[in-house]
Amino acid sequence: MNYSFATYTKPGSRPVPVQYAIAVGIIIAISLLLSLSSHYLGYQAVSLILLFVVAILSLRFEIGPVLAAAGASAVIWNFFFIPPHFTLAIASAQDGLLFFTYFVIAAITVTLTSRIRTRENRAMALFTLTKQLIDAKTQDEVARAAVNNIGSFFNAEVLLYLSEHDGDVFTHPHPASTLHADPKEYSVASWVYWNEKKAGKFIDRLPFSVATYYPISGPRYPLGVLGIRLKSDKQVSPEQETLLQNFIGQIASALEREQLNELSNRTTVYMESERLYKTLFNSISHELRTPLAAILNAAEGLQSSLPAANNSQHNDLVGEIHTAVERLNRLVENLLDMTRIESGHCAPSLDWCDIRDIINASLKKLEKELKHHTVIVSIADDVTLVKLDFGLMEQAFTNLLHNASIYTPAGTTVTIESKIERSTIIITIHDNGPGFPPETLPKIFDKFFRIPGSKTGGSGLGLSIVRGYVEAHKGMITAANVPTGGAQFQLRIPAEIHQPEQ
Amino acid sequence: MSTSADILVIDDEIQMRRLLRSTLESAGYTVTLAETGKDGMRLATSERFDGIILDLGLPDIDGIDVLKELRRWAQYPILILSVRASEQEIVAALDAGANDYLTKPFRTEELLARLRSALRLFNTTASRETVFTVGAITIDLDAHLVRKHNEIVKLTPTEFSLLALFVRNAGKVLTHKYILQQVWGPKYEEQSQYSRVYVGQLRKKLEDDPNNPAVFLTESGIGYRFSAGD
Repeated sequence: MNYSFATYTKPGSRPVPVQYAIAVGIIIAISLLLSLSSHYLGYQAVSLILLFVVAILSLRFEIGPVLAAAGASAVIWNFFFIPPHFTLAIASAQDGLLFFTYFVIAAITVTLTSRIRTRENRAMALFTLTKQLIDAKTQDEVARAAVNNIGSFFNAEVLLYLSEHDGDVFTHPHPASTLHADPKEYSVASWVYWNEKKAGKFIDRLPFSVATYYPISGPRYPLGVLGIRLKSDKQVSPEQETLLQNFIGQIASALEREQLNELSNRTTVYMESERLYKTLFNSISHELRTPLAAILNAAEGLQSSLPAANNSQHNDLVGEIHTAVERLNRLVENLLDMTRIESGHCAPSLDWCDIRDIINASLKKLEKELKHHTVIVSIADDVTLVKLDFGLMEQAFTNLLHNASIYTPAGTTVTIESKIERSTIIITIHDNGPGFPPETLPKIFDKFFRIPGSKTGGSGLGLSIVRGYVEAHKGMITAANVPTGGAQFQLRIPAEIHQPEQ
Repeated sequence: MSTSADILVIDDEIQMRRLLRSTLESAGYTVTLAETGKDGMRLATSERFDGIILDLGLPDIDGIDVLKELRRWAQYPILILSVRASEQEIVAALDAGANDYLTKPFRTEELLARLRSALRLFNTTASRETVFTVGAITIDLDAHLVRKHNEIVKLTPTEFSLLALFVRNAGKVLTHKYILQQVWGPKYEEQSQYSRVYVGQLRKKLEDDPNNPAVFLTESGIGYRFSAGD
């Protein structure tokens, strides 16, 4: 039998020395009362009453005081009640048997009740812990409940480490910990974390630490590590260990629950913000473009309803409106694109794309702007299907080619080349125009940067959007001047590349 | 074709409604206007129309929901109006049964062309035409014969069924998902590389310049459109 559990003292119960005094005092008082009436009761009955008192005491007091009371009562009974009185001698064999039986029954009563109470204590401790863990609303509260309960039940100092989000190793102990963490303790704790095996003092793995460390395992990744050092500086007994493992199991499921809760809260918040953003974005987009659509359609309506006589002049005017609408629309598009990139809501939706299709779509959009340029598209044969976001890449190419149309004179040749290197698609767009002023190269992708002295008609957003979209694909873009003259942009985008079935 | 068709326009913007009315009326259509999704659905159930132009950004009900509700019983063409940067929305609308889409701002002539093409397609699906000619290409669906400049072009069975799908829906935008469903089966809806690869092969065999397609057109981020050449 192992009674080394530091007792799980219920609130309001008395300290042990006081219990000794009270228990023995009660026995003495009862004996005094009995001595007054022993004449009528007979000394055998007295033994039963004393036994009864010891049994009652064992319900209320610790085992030590109760054993003391049992001993005291046996001595008192023998000394004062069993004839011959005032001696420890026992005259008859019958009385000897009675005294022996008394002692054995008292001992058994005390042991049994004490054992029951130990179990009750443990059940109670587990119950208290479970209840507090259930009531805990956050991971912090779970940690506090764990440290407090283990600390008070095992009479120990506790050091608790909890994993960071998504199973990253901890860096600091939980602030509720009652044991000081030095680097040595930390190193043992992190070993336990990665290996999910207990280690530390009293264990053949890493015994140089002050505390013994137990892993708190979760279904997906370890949730943390719990270090315990009994204040008695003794080893945790097998029985305590069983209970401790029970505690840790409860703590693990509470931690797991809280982590899942936090995760689901974060997801909800994220989704809510995403939804809100989309709604707002769509509504602004709608608000800005509807008037543009109205202007464009009204102008076209005007054109078709006017008398043919003035048509050429009106055509010109409607053409002007049309150009202005297109320019404004491009600006709106750029501003919205930039907003999307800057708000971090620009996750590319990747799907198989034919790079030729993307380039064609951009060229088609810019048919008018590139009317006086020669465009050469040269795509290596091994460039088949690539996983990209069609819409984003189309916009990127459109911006790059639109730039070329603005900043190079008519008659310039724009060349678009594409090839695959390992799992990266490389697209190069270069022209034989004037190239970049060298000092502007480092700033070329900056937001609102425009080459000084360039003609009006740009927002300075186009290239920073291109960079944003390329980076959203985890790719990179560089700008350079070609040695033979002209500007060059190179996009390198890591992407899944389709392997044609042979 | 007669342009006395009845068109219902559902758009919450008064300016767009007025403009669409004048544009469509001057093109010979009879136009009814609705301001909200609810109004639109009420009108669509109580009166007879030949086609609907539906703005996706309605204040009361999501345009897609209006579309789904209408498609439960209405067969006639539904054209949707939307703004760019919402390709997924357009794809969703097309998959929910919209016939075509236009992004704002759009050209008046583009709108009229799309509407005309959708109405014509709807009215000719009943006819059992099996031989089609698009530019230099002749396709005989019954005989499984494809000619280009009078020369027979050999197509694999999959290429042919893809081409047949395009021909039957000439002028209409088909989403990747729809193409995969129709040609390869519902299990292949996510295997988007198939449609790309096979469209590429059809282009190589049938386009004059496969790198600059004029017949099998790409709709950015949405799908393909078989140009009937008008």
